[in-house]
Amino acid sequence: MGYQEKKNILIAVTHVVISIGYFGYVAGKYASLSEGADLLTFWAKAIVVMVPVYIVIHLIVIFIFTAVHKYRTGEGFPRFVDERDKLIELKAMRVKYFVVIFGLFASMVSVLMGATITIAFVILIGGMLASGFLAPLTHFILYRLDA
Amino acid sequence: MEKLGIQNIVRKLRFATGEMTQQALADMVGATRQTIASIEKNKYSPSLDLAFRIAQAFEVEISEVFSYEKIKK
Repeated sequence: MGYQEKKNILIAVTHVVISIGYFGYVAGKYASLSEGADLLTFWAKAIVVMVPVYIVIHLIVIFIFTAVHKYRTGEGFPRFVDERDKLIELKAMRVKYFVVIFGLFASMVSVLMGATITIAFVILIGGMLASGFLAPLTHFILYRLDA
Repeated sequence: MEKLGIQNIVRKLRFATGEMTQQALADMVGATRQTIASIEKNKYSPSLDLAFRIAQAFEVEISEVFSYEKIKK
């Protein structure tokens, strides 16, 4: 298994672990909300905080992974990405955007059907999380299938 | 109707050129080893630019390396 494949598996696994941890924390906060609290602000804050948390943790994990990979195999970051790498990356990004848009659409439909703000945000966040997991998975599968 | 696609003889040329490794060819043409492997298996059709670079690496015409014909199963 090459660097790219290992990295994508790690990203997918890390994503699941962070998601469970972070949304366990958010669920705990939600449960302790007082009556009449502003739910819109609460969920907006949950999303706004989520983005940098994910980015920072992913960067740290990739940095550690690259260091360990380099130590064990003598290879660091790939020297460059070629046209096939870019094509696979684009396909993975396309999957990611489809899932995010689907989550957004499902969220809006739920509001139209009378769901609460919490349900709408949970669907929206669910779409974002699913996209974050499916993108590296797509990347990994395409690498495997084509190589 | 038979399906047509881009076929190549990169693997054959590689072995005819002193058993060149995939990595060596990849380094010569500025691609990754995985891309060369994928091209050899006809799973990935390279861009025109990369196809020309591969042909140049073997010092042959592009039409000698790549052809558009019935896909071999």
